[in-house]
Amino acid sequence: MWKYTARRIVEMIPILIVISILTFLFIHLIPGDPARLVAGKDATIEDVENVRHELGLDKPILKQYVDYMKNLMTGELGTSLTTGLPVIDMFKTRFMPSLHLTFLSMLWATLIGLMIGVFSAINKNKWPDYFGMVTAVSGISIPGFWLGLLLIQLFSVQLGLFPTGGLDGFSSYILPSLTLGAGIMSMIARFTRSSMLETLQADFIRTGRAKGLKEHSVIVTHALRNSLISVVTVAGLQFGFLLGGSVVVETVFSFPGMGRLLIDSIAFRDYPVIQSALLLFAFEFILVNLIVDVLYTVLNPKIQLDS
Amino acid sequence: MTEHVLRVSDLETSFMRDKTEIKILRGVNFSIRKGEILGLVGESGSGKSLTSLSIMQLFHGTTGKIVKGSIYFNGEDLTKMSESEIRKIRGKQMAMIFQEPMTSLNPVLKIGKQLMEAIEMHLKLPKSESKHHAIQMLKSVGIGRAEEIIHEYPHQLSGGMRQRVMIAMAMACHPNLLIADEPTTALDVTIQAQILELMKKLKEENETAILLITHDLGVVAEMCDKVVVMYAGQVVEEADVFELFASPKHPYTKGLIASVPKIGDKKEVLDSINGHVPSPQNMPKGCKFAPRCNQVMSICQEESPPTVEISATRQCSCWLYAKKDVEVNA
Ligand SMILES: Nc1ncnc2c1ncn2[C@@H]1O[C@H](COP(=O)(O)OP(=O)(O)OP(=O)(O)O)[C@@H](O)[C@H]1O
Ligand code: SF4
Ligand SMILES: [Mg+2]
Repeated sequence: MWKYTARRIVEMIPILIVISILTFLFIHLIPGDPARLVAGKDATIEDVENVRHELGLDKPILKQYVDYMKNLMTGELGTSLTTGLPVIDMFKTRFMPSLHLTFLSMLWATLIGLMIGVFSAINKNKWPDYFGMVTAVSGISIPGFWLGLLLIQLFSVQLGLFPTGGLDGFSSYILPSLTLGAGIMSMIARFTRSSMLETLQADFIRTGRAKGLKEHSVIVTHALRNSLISVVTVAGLQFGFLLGGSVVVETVFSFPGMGRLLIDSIAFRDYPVIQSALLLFAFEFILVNLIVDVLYTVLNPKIQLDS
Repeated sequence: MTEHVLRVSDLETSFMRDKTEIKILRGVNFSIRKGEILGLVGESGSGKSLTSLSIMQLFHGTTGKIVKGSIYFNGEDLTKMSESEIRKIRGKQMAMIFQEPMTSLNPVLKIGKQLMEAIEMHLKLPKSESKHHAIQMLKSVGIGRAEEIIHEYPHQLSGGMRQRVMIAMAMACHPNLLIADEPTTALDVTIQAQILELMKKLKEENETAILLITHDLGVVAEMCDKVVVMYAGQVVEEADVFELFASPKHPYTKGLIASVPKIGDKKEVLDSINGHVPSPQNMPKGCKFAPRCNQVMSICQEESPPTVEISATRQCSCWLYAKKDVEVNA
């Protein structure tokens, strides 16, 4: 398994290089002139050109890319065009809140999703199933920004239970994580349900019952254990999306995370920040995929690695 | 005479399809004594597996239900028991092995865990003892490297080995009755012989009664003491194994035996029975076998034949034996 993991990590390098090229090109296609934005409204053409030279934006794009990558290798992400702070410092304050938010969303989405999925499956076509699936369908079909606004309206404005936004202790995480996790929870619920229904048909489930096992052992030890293999894959991929996909939720809740930082940076054409943020999202996504793959092989004894 | 381990009488089992009840078993009768092997034969769809599932009451996830009759096991009627009472019997006094050794074991749990589950629960042994017991069971079914196999997963074993594991699992609590639903159908001929031999050996050691479901009359001749022939959800003939092969009574049994190819047989086409098993939705009115029977009479199409006791060990449901004197036809 270690060999496999090591090989997969090495394989990440070319993928990240391709992604860095694509994001670099993509960013320079965004209309708008960062030198103009940095120099300010009243700047003369000369001022703007000076700023452009200072920022290195007058060099050929290939040279800019090579310089950027060179710096990246030494852990240097450049400085923000808008704040003048090192990008890495900006990430330091923004990354952890986003990560915590993602973990919390994922945690409850997985727990509730699994529970709904299992109960729906074992009560197929009865009311707990209908209830569970209605919940799941709502969770996936309500847009994140709207759900966020609804929750703010109800719990923050009307009931005053949670802050309407910002980041001030644990309570600031609750509504954003509910909003962020709703879609994943639905997906996990539906996936668990169908996976459980399939597993419950398997011959080995009948063997378990023929042994005289209690129904909960049959469901948990035998059926859920098998269903988890495929659920982990789906949930893991969603987790990867969440890491970069909290943009909308962070905006609705004015949550000071990576998603908000990205949106603000795009507005100001803050190239170094956008470039590094996108690369970080890509890296997280690939890393999560790797973890999912390794976990999959751990859960599924049929896949033997390194042989 | 030893007492009956299992006595099934008048068993009727149905499924619901589109809100209508479809009766699949329509009055099944037979019994098994201690240490006896009873063969249950019949064409595909005749209800053999359903009979075994009815005895174990493994209807989970289906619409299946016993609607009539009784199943006496060690003198107690299983049809009157609650699910939790039956669960204490399943896997302990009454165990089952299935046709598909490839899919009957859980692919993500180690062999040892799957064996110990039942042992820990029914025999209430602590973990270390139940592990020891599991290893003993694997050895008793002829698995040499039992200590290693308990740490392996099903996919690491061959089909024959898996079926041995299934048998070890079934025999772990020394059941009074072992139900084997086509235990060797999915296996190679040589492995098949080994598995049957093993079942015989275990039966002798434990005095277990075995209900052996098969469509292979060769296996029946080899293994069984008694045979029950099923057709369209009913028992049409029950006999001692020697009697059955020497002089089959029911036209369906005759057809079954005639359809077995014999060595030295020069015939190009086998004497198989024409036609198909009728579907449960449109069963013929009288004898269910009438449309395919070559000895059919007018009464056969009107009324179901009664079950006639031909001798103490023999029964047959056919008008041929109901009307005339038994001696003449014997
Ligand atoms: N879960 C189910 N739902 C509905 N009908 C079923 C179900 N299981 C079995 N049946 C019906 O019961 C009938 C008898 O099936 P059964 O499996 O007992 O036959 P069998 O004699 O074991 O045949 P085979 O030799 O193919 O195993 C079939 O006609 C089948 O359609
Ligand atoms: S009852 Fe009639 S139709 Fe049925 S098997 Fe006997 S002879 Fe044939
Ligand atoms: Mg069957």
